[in-house]
Amino acid sequence: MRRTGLSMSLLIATLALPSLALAGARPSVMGAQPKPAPMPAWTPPVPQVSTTAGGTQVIVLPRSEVPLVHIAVLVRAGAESDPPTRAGLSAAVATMLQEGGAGKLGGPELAQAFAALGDELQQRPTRDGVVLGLTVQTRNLDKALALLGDLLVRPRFDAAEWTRARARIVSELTRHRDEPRDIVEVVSARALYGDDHPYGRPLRGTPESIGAITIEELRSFYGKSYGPKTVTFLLAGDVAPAEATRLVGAALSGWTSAALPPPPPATAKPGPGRLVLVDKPGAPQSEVRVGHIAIARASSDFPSAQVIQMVLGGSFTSRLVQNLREKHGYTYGVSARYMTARAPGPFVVHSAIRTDVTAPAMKELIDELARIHQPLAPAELDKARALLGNNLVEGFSEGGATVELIGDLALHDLPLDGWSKQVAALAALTPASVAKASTTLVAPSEELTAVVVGDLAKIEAPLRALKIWKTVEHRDVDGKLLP
Amino acid sequence: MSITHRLALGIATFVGLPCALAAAPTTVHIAFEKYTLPNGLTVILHEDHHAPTVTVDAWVRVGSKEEAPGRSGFAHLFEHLMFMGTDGVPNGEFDSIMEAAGGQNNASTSEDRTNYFETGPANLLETFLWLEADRLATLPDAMNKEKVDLQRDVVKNERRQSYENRPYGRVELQLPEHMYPATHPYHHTVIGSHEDLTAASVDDVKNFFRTYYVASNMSLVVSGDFASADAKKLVEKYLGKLPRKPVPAHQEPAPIPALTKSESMTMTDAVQLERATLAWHSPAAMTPGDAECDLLSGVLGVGKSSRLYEALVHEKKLAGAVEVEQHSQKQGSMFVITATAQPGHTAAELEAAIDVELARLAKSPPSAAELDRARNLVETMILRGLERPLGAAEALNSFEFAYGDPGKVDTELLGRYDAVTPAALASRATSVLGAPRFSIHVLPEKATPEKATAAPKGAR
Repeated sequence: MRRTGLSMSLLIATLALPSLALAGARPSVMGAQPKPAPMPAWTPPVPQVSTTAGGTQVIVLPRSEVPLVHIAVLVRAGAESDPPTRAGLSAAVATMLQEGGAGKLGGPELAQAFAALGDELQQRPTRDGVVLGLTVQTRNLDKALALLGDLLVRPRFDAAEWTRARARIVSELTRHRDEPRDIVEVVSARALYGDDHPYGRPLRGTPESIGAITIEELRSFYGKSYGPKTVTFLLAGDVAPAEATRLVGAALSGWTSAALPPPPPATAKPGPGRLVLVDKPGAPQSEVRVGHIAIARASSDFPSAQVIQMVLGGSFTSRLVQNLREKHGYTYGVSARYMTARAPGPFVVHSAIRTDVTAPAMKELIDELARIHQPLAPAELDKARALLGNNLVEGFSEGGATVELIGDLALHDLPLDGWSKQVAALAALTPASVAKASTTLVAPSEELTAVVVGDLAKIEAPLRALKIWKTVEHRDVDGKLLP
Repeated sequence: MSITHRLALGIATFVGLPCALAAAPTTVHIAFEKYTLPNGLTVILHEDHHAPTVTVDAWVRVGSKEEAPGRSGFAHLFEHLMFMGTDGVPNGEFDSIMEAAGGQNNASTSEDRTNYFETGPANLLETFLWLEADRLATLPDAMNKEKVDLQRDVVKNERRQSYENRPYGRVELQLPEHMYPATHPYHHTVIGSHEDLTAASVDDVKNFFRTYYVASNMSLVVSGDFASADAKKLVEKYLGKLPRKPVPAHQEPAPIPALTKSESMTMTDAVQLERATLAWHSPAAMTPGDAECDLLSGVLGVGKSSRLYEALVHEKKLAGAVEVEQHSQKQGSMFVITATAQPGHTAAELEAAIDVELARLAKSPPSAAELDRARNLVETMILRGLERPLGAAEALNSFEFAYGDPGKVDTELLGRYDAVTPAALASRATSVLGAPRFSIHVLPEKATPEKATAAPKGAR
């Protein structure tokens, strides 16, 4: 592949038409650069919402090009609700909805039933909630919703199945401790948020935290957190809204839990910028994450953040890619991302850098972040808007991405016309307004925390010699501070 | 192994007017128009007006199998160099021109072919064709050592990121060398060796371009929101200017490789958990048996209702994860089973447990219900791919590549799975998995105390 590592989930749009960049001084043998016609107008579709008799919100965006329906169930009980010593509990509960059996079916039979309908049920844990995802052919929609109803309303949490699932999850998490890309994510979250904030803990837990979870704890979490008012159904595809609402209502009928979504966690207090080192002797590359605690999803600076992440590391012409990859050849990929949630989430630059150039690449990276505080050239802002706009058009042209886009609004308590509003907000941005927002969206160099997983015998001294950080820490693969 | 996703299943495809009939197989129809320019370029147009976007997808019939001795990794390095600029569109501007108006691009290389695609707002169609034609006409004129050196570094970083700095990543580098004899075009990996990448020269680039990057060796799909009459004029205006040159000689079909006896090797890696990877030769992409092997991979290893998951993960608690893949390639495929141990278990135990399941497969072949589950999973994945903007283009190109007939999409995309019977599946399982295999055991580099303690109390 020409590229990995660039985030493609930069899905915001405006359709203001920027002028094209100009080609080189010598004409192409293919003649003059074409001048495109104006874009046709396009605005993000707004889904329809209704509520079942039991109080469950059903959000539907009908489309009929392909006989598929994409379903996402948002459960408002995410990692933010995990007790401090039970990281991964919310994810484990979601896993056990299927694997622990439901209604008349044991776990294996439930898996067979979903597979027979054409998909594996996916569980995606997030800070704010768990997303259960399923795609089925239209002809199987009624059966799929009935099965989802079973596992939400009548989960069995069979103890023997938890013993099996726990061993499997522990072995997966053990494997993650060997994977530099997983290690750096865990350490980065813990370094930024500390041990007392839920965003500092790994979403899926650790071998130890999962190993300690009992079947009673799963049942208790489910009882407290799952109910008709804490789940939202999203459907995009070949289904009419009224039919979807009827089927969801029937699937969840009789569910009486009074559980409500939890309030968002408190805003974390940022620590000082630091260099955090994790030793991986012999590693040919250093996995690098540089960032700080930034903004919540609902922040009015979100549109500026989308522009900044696109300009810094969202496409081939972005500043970090041009510098670290295309100018210096330090890396295969580098990207920047605001990982937003209900409370302020981190801004993080990601890269994997050749071991012997880790320090010079870090210097370039940090300098690029500092440069973002200068106003963007108008053409650069226009480019970011155009790319964000097209990502949104393409996202809404396919069902799976549509569900993610709408889910992002619903999970964060935003109005469902949120993408149309973003389009308008993006169009209103100016180089000056983005520069102003950048003062908080990208922290000054001394407040950035850099986490590096690599061969410390080769990279520690050169990194220290950059003299960017006052504090240097060593941590283990779980992010635990070493003496 | 291929740098790209596998061709048969993982690809994105898009659809014109499919219709779902209750209790009948879902059918797909992708409307297209195919023609050939006087210079030999195959052009396939597919109108799709459901979103105001357009995709240009060029497939070049060259992959790592065409690489010269001592130049492993070159086809993929060349792919990177296609973005390094020409005299008319200097380095960096291919990207900046299209991104300025919301367009994006990427490319990929496999053993068999290389593809280049652009997607973006529908008004960029002419810009995409102009940019594609410009580099196809003049790339070598502006090629120099600095460009090759730079992308050589980037590709070596890709090798480190994708294989060397990933746990178990070196298994994928080893497998082809052991599965295929040194004379076979699949003996080396797509990513290539550091040594061979270092050896690549500007002359290599120019020669490779002149041999393989000719109109008669390519198919171009334009898919999206346009009128075919307009697109035809634009394709003619730009791509029509490419010279007519002879169709290059391709890597001759190599004899279907076969292992004469089962072999195995052990390697160590910076990991805590042992892993067993087993590989067999299997039918080539889009040839009889390929679809059966896709479905067999589903029966054995896709999802929690699959046989190996059920036996190794759920029942025996030996493995934490199981993966099964039919890695489809034009000159012969590989069927690969991978299982990673739970703490305290060994690769040898995993392989023995897989053997038990393979023996059971021979005694009690997949039932109609198992086949249906595997088929449904495959078909949902294909239909999901069809929704994506790049989808139709990739489907049409892959069928043009395989059969010289993109129209086979309608009958074969889903139909080749619908046609599989339990008996055919059982027979294919016997012939593929009954043959000799190559297995790799990955063990931790050192006897780690963590390994014994990784499972906390109560976990097992």
